[in-house]
Amino acid sequence: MSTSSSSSKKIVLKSADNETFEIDEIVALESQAIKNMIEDECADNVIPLGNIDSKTLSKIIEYCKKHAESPKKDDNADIDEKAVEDLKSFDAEFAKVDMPLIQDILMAANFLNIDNLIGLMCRTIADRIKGKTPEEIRKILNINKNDLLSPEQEAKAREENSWAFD
Amino acid sequence: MDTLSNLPEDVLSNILSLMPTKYAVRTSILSKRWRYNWTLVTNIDIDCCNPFHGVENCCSFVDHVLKNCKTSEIRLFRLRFGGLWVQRSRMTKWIDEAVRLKVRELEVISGLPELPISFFTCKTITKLHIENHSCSKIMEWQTPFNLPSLKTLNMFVYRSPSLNAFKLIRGCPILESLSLAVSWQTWFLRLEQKAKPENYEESEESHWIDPKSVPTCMLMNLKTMKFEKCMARKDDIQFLEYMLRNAKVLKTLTIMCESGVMEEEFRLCAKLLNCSKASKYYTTNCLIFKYISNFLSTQRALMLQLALNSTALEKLHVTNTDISNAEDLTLLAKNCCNSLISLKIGSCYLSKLEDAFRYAVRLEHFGGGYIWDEEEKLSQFGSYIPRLSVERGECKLLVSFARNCANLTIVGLQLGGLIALAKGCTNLECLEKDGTTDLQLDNGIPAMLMGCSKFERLDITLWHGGLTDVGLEYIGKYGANLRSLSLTRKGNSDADL
Repeated sequence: MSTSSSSSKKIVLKSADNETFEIDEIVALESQAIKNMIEDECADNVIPLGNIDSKTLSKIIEYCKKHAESPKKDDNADIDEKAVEDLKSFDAEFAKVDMPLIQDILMAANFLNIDNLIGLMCRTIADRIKGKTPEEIRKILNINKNDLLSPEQEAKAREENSWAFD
Repeated sequence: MDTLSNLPEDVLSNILSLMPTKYAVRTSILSKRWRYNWTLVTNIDIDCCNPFHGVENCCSFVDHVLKNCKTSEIRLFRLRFGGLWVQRSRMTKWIDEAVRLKVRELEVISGLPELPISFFTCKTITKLHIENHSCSKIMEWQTPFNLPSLKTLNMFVYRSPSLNAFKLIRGCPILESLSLAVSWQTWFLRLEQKAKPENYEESEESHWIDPKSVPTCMLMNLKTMKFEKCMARKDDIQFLEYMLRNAKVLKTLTIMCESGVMEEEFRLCAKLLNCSKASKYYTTNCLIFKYISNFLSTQRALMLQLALNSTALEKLHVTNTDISNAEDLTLLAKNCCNSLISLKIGSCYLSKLEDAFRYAVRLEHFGGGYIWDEEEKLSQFGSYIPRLSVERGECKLLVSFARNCANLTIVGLQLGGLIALAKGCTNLECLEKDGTTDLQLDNGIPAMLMGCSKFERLDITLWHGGLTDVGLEYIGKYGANLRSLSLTRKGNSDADL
């Protein structure tokens, strides 16, 4: 097989709810985990992803497509500033989703080992909770009321870390 | 189960490390599960600039975080104490600990940063930023050092870079980016064994000696260099010339002059523009003068040379200059059209500046000496200026500016000017007046507000009593379109607001 045809090779991903997604291999290679599977030749034509639902998977594919298309950082050539800006605004738009989906994407990105996407989701979460009151954060993270600290425990935590609460 | 509790520790650590450590620690009271999550942080980023917290409390907090965080490797260690003084033994202990934890990025801003000996041979550090906000003598750095992974260095050095910065460069074989701020009140980072005489600054003698061999990083890695607070001394010039002559892959050299002595800065520019450059990447864009203060007027040839060779000058202040011929200035404005923000010149005809104004689209600040022209020419002045702050100026001149400017700041405006502005410029949408005048402005207000129907924002800073209730009442009466009003130091009572 010639190298040019291998670049347009297709990979099929199957979500937990049995939906299949056919994507270019180059897009799938954004995932270090899939890349390893392909390199080790242990990937069949269809890769089952039993812990990722179709809604999350389609978001992840959207992300990988965009990032696979964008020119990669190259030491020899000057980085195209416009492409960098374009990718930045894509990322910003991409992250405008609700917390449950962010969590799902983060879990899936972690499983598929997509470094940039893990970073983007972590930054998004950090930005959403930093500087907020404990009450607000509990709501954002959907923290269970049964798991709250007792007043004594909370007082102790505040005392231990008093500078952070000033 | 809360949203993040399924995540593996390293992801949780990642999230908590992406916020200032203070916020990460605050998550300790969210729930039982979150009680100790913060101890997973790999970045320690503590801002202690707020003096109300007390230095001692801040220091205890740094101790607390270092003692409790579980990481075996610190990616970022950032302590910002502003000008606050931190005990030497404490700082030494923290940095020792960070070095032990294989710190990769270190940033310390404090009144007395002190690097312990362990740091001088730190193998893991890739990025170092040290800032010193005190004016005392500090560091005697006589240990040879070796930072084999350092790529980015941002540091204050004691006055003569030829003696100090150079030793740093030699100790960093893969350095890519170097930013030096020459601190001349302080004795920070003095590498030289021999103490320099106190009157060193008065001697014009150069201490620079061309090194025997070129440091490794200059042959292979050093791509960007920035030199802030350049005093344009002989040493500085020789040091910079040496860098240009020998740095083989240098892409940009940015220089910010702050000597206040025009002749010296000009000499520096001329020398550097003319010296031979080793880098294959060198173009005229490589050498960037960001801030030039006070050129000597007689050096017209140099002004022209600078104009021809600059593309990124941000501030040009040449207030003692008689610019009878503004061609060089126009050329400079054309070349630096995307960078020039502040321009202060000496006496000049306004009409001669028209081209310069047209090119300098980012200009925000204009000031200078006596700028004037015939009335007819003033009224024809038509360069559009989106935003401008003007220092002083005659009424008619201000009107000329304001007609073409939607957002004007005037420093030192007087009553007559206010009325003239109102009559002359119906375009004005916003005026900031930063006045140190003690004039009564009350009676100018109605004319102002009636004259400028588009007026939406008025910011006035005055001395006590410059605007009283009478003026405020006028504002209430005529300022129907005003959307934003900011008065600082107004009169005694707020009755009519």
